[in-house]
Amino acid sequence: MAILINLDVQLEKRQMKSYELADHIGITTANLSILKTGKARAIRFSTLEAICKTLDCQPADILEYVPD
Amino acid sequence: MRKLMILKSVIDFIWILSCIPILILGFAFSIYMFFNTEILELTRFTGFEIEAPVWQKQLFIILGYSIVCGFIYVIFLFRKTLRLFQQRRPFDSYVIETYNKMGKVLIGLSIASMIGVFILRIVFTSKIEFTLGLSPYLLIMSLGLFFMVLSESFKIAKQAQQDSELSI
Repeated sequence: MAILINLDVQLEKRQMKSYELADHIGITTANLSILKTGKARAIRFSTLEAICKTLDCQPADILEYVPD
Repeated sequence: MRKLMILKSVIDFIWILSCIPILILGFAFSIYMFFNTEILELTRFTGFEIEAPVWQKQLFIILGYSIVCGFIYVIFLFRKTLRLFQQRRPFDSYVIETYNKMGKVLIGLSIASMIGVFILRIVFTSKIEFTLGLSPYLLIMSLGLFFMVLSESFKIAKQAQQDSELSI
């Protein structure tokens, strides 16, 4: 997929665990794992907003476009 | 779900009381007619009273039995998909593939029966007959196409369901 999710990088920068982020934004760890592994087909604005708020970052820090 | 229960009961009723006996009796008849050709006199009751060689009658009975088996196969497949509906799995890959298969089989059967009856009339009654308007063959063909459209729709619905499930 051409859109990469750099959630791992952001979590590592902030020394945060996946389950902590999942707890903060109110989604299951299974869904966060789907998002991290790039298996998700879409991301809701509300989820993106919650991630950006928790990690104090911009959407561009999480999402990256890489041409195929 | 109550309608589904009623439909399942009706299909089970047809399956047990019609399909299974027809399969068994038809098979027994198809075998027996080769040993005792007098049994072919029964064809007089079907409207084809013209004298024809025994082998032609046997051939048409075998063809007719094959077409009936095809319809029974479609009912068998439909019955299996209803079980998945009861398990609340309407967009299962099996349902999608089976509806497509059922559609193809029904179209094949309608064409086969249309050609079969046309040839049967020529051979047994020496008549060429064309029926315009509402004919069972066209209805069966439409039913086959409907199942194929249903299969395509279920495929789209399954895709939408997966998209929805994978939206985080």
